Formats: sequence, structure tokens, C-alpha cells
Amino acid sequence: MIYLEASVFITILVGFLATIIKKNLLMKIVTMDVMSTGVVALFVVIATHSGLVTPILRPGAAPAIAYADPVPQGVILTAIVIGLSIQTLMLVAAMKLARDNPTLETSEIDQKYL
Amino acid sequence: MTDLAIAWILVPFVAGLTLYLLPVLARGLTLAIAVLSLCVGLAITIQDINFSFVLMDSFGIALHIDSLSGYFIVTNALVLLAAVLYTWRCDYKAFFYVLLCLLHGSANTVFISADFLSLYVNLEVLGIVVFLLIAYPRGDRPLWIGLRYLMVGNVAMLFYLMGVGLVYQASHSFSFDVLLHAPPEAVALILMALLAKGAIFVSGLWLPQTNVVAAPVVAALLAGIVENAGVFPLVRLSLLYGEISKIVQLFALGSIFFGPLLALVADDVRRLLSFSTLGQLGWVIISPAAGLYALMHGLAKAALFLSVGELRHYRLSELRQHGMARPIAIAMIIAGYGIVGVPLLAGFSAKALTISYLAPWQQGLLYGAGFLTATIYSKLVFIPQQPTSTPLPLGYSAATLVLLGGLVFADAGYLQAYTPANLLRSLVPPAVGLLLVGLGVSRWESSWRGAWERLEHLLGVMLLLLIGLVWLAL
Repeated sequence: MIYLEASVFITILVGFLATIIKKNLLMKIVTMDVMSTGVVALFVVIATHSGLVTPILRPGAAPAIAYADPVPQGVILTAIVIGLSIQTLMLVAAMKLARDNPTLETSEIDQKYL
Repeated sequence: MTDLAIAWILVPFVAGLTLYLLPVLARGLTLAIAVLSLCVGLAITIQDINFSFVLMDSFGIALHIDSLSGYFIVTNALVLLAAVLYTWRCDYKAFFYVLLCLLHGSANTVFISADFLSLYVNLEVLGIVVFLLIAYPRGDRPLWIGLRYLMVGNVAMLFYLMGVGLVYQASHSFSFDVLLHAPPEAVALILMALLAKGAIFVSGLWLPQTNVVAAPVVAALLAGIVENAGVFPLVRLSLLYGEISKIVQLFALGSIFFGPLLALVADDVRRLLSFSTLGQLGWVIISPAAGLYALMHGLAKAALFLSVGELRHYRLSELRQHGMARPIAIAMIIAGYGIVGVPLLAGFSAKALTISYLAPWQQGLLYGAGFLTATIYSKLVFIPQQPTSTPLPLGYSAATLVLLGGLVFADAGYLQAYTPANLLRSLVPPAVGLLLVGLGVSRWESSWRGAWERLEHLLGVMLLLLIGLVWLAL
């Protein structure tokens, strides 16, 4: 379990650092998605602290089953949807910017428009 | 009461979606929403309503309405009202008003939310709407600045979500009340995200260029609504927890000096105003009297940005050469001195109320920062004024009247401020400011754009801030 949690945090950190280090705008958007995948995974890991069984009540199941916590899983769905829409918006913006800045180097775009 | 509150929350969202189908109604409906929210906000503030409720069962959406939310809602409504009046005669499409409705609705919900998750959702909606508003002119430059805003906001909110996850892990709840059961990393993550979103201190450096590139009406909305929504959670959290309020005050003090110092060397009037915003947001979050201060600053800054939209030049050196139309100059000077805090305008009572909550050493520092603010706004007085040949646009005049009228009436929020000592004290900074500008402080203006305003640096600063906050919170 501790390894799982550690790798989740490493994913988030790698995603974030790559967002800073990667020069290309498209790569920045992708690395931001890596970071958000890490955050989603964190919520899933948090949900498993109380158990691993899918939290659906079945007839005849033993009452004292260690169910996974449904709340973080439900909550992160909202965040996934929001993250998806923001990713789409960012990609559309990158597409439009690519017309005049074919290389999509952020430092160049920054210099041009700041 | 609960039903009424839910109806009022839903109205802007429903209206926003209706406008897609009935674009003819765009302006009228948005205006009606602004008036409705103004009435609601005034009722909450004047009757001092204080009630909280939870929608659905456990883990539902917790909302809390009190007079602090009331002040922010009034600001939101008045700025929206001014924006609608300002754009009435311009040919903005219905889509623009859809965005205005959604902006208004999500900001209102931020002002009454009492759990981390509804706050998250509303801040994200706000971020998306702001991106669309900035990119509305469709040019490459607004698009890039909007994208930069979206990326910074997105990364900040991912950190926020991480913090929220840790809060839930510790106490199985998303409510604001359980924050201190969480490990210090969670507190640091959440505070860092809110500081970046609210544009406080170094994490607010995305703000100046955003205000320069955005259309004047969008810049006014940013200053009057979006930034208030960004700092509101910080105010709420520091009211709940003494420990957090100490950290927030530290950053607020940093911001209060950092913003005006950069405003002093700015060569563009829009950059001058937005660096001043950076400092003023620090004033908003430093004390529990945030409501009145946010109201005052939102109205004054929105009026300033709308006035800037009517100018032909933006560089201060060019403005000094060509001058500006007298009515616009007068509106800008009134709004500017409103922020400085001269008597008869809301800035005076808001400043007095803010300072009255603080420790003596903080009072001294804030009074000193007042001299900086006074100096930057005194620059406006020295710009030559010219009589106008063409009449001003009706929309601009109406919007400015609403905002400046609000600025005068909001003064009634704390009439106890009018003591001889306070009056005397409030007149010293403007006098010194005028003297300093007369002596030639304007020589220091430069077209320098720091590398720290670039995307990578904006993101990197977050990491530094996070490390600092973990160190402070431990």
C-alpha cells in the first residue's frame, strides 16, 4: 500500500515538474494531464483505506465486508469531468495558436505576446 | 429560506443557458439578474442574516450565508450591473452575456460555499469562464494570455484537490470546519492554491499582463468579481482559524508592499492599476473587515478600468503629453482617491475599519503602505486635462455613475470612522503623495517586464510558495 501511495505522489510531482521543464506547449498540456491523473489516483487510493470491495450491497452478502469508500470515488468523477473540459479548452487554444507559432515554444510565444 | 436561497443560486445559471435559446433577451435578463442579486446582497448585509444549510444528506453541499458574503455579493452585483450598462450600446454577442451570467452565478456560489468541494467546482467554473472572456476577441494575444491564466489556475487547483483529498483522508468530511484535523501538508497545499488563484504576493504575477491584454470591461470584471472570488476563501478560512490567519496576514503584508512598489515603476496605466490591485487584495485579506474593503476596492477598480477603456493612450508618458478628457480624468481621480482613503468615499471607512482590527505594529506598517498607494494614484492628478469636444458614450457614463455612487454610499458601512484623529491621519498620505509626484517620482517609470511574469516562472513560483508554506505550517 505504501508503495502505491508513494508512486501516486511521484506521478503528481513528475507531472508538475515536467510542466515547468518541457518547452513545448503541447507537452505542457500533456504533462498537466499526467499530474491530474496522479491526483485522481490519489483519491482512488484514499478510497481503498476502508477496504477493497466495490461498495454495492448484494443480497446475501456478509454484513461486515470491508467496502471501499464511495465518497472520494464519486467526488473525483466531478474533477475528472472538469479536468477533461479544461484539457479540451487548452488544446483548442493551442491549435489556434499553432497557426502563427508553428513551433509552439512557450518561451517564444511569451516573448511575442507578453 | 433554504428554497429561496437555492432559487437565487440557480437563477443566473438557468438564465445563462436560456440566453443560448433566446439571444434577444441577453442584455435585459443579465441586467435583471444583477438587480436581483443586488437586492439579495443588500438584504443579507443590512439584516445581518446568518444561516447555514446542507443540501442533500451527509457529504452534501454545505452553504453558509452571512454579512461577509453579503458584501461580496453586493460587489458582484454592482460590477455586473456596470458591465451590462457599459456594453449596452456595444455589439457584444449573446454569448458574452451567457458568460457574464455564469461568471456571476459561480462567483455568488463561491461567496456562500462552506465546503472544499463546492468551492473547487465553482472556482473551476469561474476559471473556465474567465478564460473564455479573455479570449473573446479571438486574437492570438488574448488567447495566449487566457491560456496562461487557465494553465496557472489548473495547476493551482490540482494542488488544491490534492490537499482536499488529504483533508478527507484525515476526517472523512469536506467541510471547512475540519481543516485543522488534516496534516500540515494539506493546509499548505490548499493555502498555496488559494493564494495563486487570488493573486496574492508573488503568486499573483499573472495578473498585470492579463489586465493589460483583456478588454477594459473584462479587466473591470476581473478586478471587481474574479479576484474577490479568489481571495474570499482565504478570508473565510482565516476567520475560522487563528493559525491560518497568521500565515495569511504574513502573505497579505508581503502583497501590500510588493504591489505598490511595482506599481510605482510601471509605465503603463493598466499595469499601474493591476499592480495596485495586487497590494489592495492584501488589504482585503489581512483583517476580518474584508467585506467592506472588498466592496470598496471592487467598485473603485472596476470604475478605473472602465475609464482606462475610454483613453486613447495607455503609456503614462504619452498621457502626460496628450492629456485626457476632463470627465474621464475626474472619474479616475475620484476612484483612485477612493482607494487611497480620503474622507467621504468608502475607502476612508474601509481602511479605518481594517486597521482597527490589527496589532499596533501592523497598523504602523499599513499606514506606511498608505503613502505608497497615495503616491501612485497622485500620478493621475498630474496628467493634464482637456475639455471634451465629443460627448462621452452613454454606457460608460451610466456604468461609472453606478460604481462611483456605490463608492460614496458604501461609506455608510462604518460611520464610526469619522473621528477628528482619523480625518487628520487620512489627509497626510495624499498630501505627501502629491508632493512626491511633484518632486518627480515619475522618473522611475520603466518599460521593464520581469522574467517572473512568464509561464514557467509563474508555475515555478508555486513550488517555492508550497515549500515556504509547509515550513510555516509545520
